[in-house]
Amino acid sequence: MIPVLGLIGGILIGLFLQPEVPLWLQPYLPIAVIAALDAVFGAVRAVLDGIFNDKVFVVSFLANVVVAGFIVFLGDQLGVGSQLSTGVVVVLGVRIFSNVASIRRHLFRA
Amino acid sequence: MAPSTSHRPPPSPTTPEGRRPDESMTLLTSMMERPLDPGYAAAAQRRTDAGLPGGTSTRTPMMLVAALVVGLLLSLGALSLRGPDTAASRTRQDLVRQIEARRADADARARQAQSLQAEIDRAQANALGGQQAALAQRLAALTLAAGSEPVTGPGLKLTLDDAKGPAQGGVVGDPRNGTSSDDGRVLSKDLQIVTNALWEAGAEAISINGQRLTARSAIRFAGDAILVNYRPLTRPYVISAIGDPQNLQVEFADNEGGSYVRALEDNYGVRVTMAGAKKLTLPGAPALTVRNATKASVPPTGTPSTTGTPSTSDQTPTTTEPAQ
Repeated sequence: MIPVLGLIGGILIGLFLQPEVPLWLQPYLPIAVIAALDAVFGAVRAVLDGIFNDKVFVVSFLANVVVAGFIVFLGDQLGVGSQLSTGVVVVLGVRIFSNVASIRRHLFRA
Repeated sequence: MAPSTSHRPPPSPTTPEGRRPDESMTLLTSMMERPLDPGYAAAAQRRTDAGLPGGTSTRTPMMLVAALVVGLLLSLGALSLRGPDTAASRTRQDLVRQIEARRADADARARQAQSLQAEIDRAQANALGGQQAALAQRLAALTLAAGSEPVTGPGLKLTLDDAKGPAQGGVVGDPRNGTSSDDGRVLSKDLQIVTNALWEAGAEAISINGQRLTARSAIRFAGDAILVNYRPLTRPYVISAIGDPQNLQVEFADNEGGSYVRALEDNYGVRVTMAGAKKLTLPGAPALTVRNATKASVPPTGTPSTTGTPSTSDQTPTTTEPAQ
């Protein structure tokens, strides 16, 4: 319950305050969002598996976001930024899909 | 990785030699089979080893903060990534809103001008009433003829509309303007010829889609739209002409207008309907005031029309748009 409240609260804060994202951070935002989604779905699956650990969740979330951002940054420096972000999106997307599939099996037994 | 970290039974059987058949794709298989962070399982293992339940509670302050951050990130991403393409569309919507507001404004002002005109007419009639009845009568006749007053009477209603579709737009391979999409469209030229033929047939007053034609009206093209009295019209174009319905119809069919309309119908598929009407009401034309033209001091026996017009005729387009 608390995480859901926190999620809604964060979304509302973002919607009402509408903080400006600095321009240099904007290329990393989509990747960061996908990395965060990956961490969230991983956490939901872990809760359903009964092996959730808050420290692991926070660390994996932060690490995901930082590493994804770093990969995009590196790609930008090497001139292959868009390709590397595509790669990150594919990998994280696959993870999100299989985590969601596992969650679905837990919830609906199908 | 220890087998305990996998939360699914290994789906692919091993070959007799102990090698998986898909060993060359270990990157893909590990990505597909173990999407969950192995850290969760390792932490759970550590906790069960220490005699605690495998999972921790989700109700910790750290979770709240993390969830807040995730939610913030989601809404931030949604907001700022939507930004760039709305910059253009926002401008566009702004322009559309401006156009609509100004059009409404112009309509309101036209209505206001008309009501004020009516007030002026009443005041004029009051001022002239009684002792100067002859003057008042002359004024009424002049305003009627000039087209600044609404008029009603029997007449003819002519409706022109674009051809139905490009496929039905007339004879195949009949190039009107070179492009086939323009084939079946009503042009300003068509309206000009038709209205001229109607005048010729004896029409006393004409309006197109509610725009009264006067001595200062122009029918012209601006882009794709037909403008009458500097107002854009939309199809279908309804031309109402007041006059003797019988005579008007016969005369119009006889003169070049009739044949032109028939040619439009036959060759380009322009839809034309003509119907006599017992009672038509045409609005008055707004803003017939003259600003630059003054009465020439030439005796009426001369040729006042040629001395008076040249200075004004090339200025009319600018002088007729005071309200915009």
